[in-house]
Amino acid sequence: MREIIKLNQISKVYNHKQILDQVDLSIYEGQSIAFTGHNGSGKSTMLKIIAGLVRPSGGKVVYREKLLFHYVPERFPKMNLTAWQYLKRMGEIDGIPGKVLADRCEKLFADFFLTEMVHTPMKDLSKGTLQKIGVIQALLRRPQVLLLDEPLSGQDMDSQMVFIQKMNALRAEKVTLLMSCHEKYLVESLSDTVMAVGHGQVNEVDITAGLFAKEYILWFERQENASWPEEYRPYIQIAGKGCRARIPEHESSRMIVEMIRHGWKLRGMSDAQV
Amino acid sequence: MRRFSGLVKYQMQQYFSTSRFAMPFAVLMILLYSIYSSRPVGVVDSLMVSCVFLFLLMVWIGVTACDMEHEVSEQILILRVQSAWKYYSSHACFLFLIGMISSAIAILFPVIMDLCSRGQLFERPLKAADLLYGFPLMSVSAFLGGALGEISHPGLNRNRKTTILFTFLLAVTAVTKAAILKNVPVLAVLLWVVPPISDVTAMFAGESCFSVNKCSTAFIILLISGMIWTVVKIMGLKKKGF
Repeated sequence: MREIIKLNQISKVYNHKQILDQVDLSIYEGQSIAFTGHNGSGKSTMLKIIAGLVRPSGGKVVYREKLLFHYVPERFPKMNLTAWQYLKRMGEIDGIPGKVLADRCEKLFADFFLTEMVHTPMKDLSKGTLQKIGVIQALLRRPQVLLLDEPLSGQDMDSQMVFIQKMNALRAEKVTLLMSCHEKYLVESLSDTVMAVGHGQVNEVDITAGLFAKEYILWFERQENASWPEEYRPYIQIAGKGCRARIPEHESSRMIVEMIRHGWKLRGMSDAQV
Repeated sequence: MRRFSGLVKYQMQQYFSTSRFAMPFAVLMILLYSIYSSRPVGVVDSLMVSCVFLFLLMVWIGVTACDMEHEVSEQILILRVQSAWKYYSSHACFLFLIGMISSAIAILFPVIMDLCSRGQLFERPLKAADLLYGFPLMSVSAFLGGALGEISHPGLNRNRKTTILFTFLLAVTAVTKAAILKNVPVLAVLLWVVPPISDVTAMFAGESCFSVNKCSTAFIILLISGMIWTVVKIMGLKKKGF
């Protein structure tokens, strides 16, 4: 794998507090890194230092080439422009031709269930809807590095599924993903590397135990008035009139009970291939 | 070039989607009316007073344009265009265009007033040369004002109140510099950093016509000063980061 960014002895001090202390990190093309840690541990600061937006107090970030970063912020700002006006301008800045931009936006609006809100001023939109616009603006053109700062905050479950699909599609195109998040299932769905940020240090976490733990594939058939148990929604894929879920072994019994409670019938179960 | 123009268009659209131009525009109209309501007025004098008003107006607009900036949208755009210089330069360009719009209003106003008063507004007939010299001078005065207003960018100083007070103090000092130095010449040691709007208007004191030499000199002084303030702002923001 080709190294594209190298952090050499990066330190950062905010208000006399050491957030990062001589951190060394190599980032490779196509890698997907999740930065986890408590609130205020320095995850967002890490992302911004990597992008060159924040100057470190010590150390240096070395880029092997000039990289195109796109950024999905934790809180997308409200503004008087509508989503369509904003994205049209972003597309112009990206150099996307008008017709291509319009088609691309139309598809992304539909994917994220935003079609009816594109002409509403963004100051009147909810936090979750704004967050979707924050994601869409980053997807208009393929970047080399995509920074994601708590990308799923405030988003509905269906949009989260779409987001994960889109991110995995970018990974297949060798886009480097750098993400700060708390959600375990997001880390497991998207990341090949997990770095724990805390007490000034950034250390890799071994996720192979989790990755290669035994999993089952469950098939369910929808009954009348069936609904989704929200906590298992990220594991579920719709398949015709039913659905299919890939779940760790230790969660499988509970999931079966919840799905039956929510009006589903278990139709099949098998070991998942790694 | 396309990216740069895209940035400028975005900022123009952002600005005009708010009502931030309404008050400065209203004040501009009132100021222009106050200059041209009594007649006859000197051509050069009135246009130079307009330059000063435009300078102050654009300081105001520069400050309110900085208020409009959001850290996150700045970050998104700087990464998108892969250059903080490009982004902040586009902001300066956007303010320059606002200045030109304001200058166009300021140069057309006396023309319309003169037509309405059947050529009796000025001490002498208004010539095309007056407009050709006046408009660029107004535009660079406005540019200088906008550049000064930009130093109130929240990225340079988080204390908004202090920053705005300081900016307006600088602006007022710039306008009254000649009078201050007449009474306290030793302050020249400090006041050389202040925008030279007062020095430029003093160059045209008592003149009945614009001359090429003076106008060129004034234009260059104001342009370079505006560019210096712009560069100072950009370098300050780049150094500080987010």
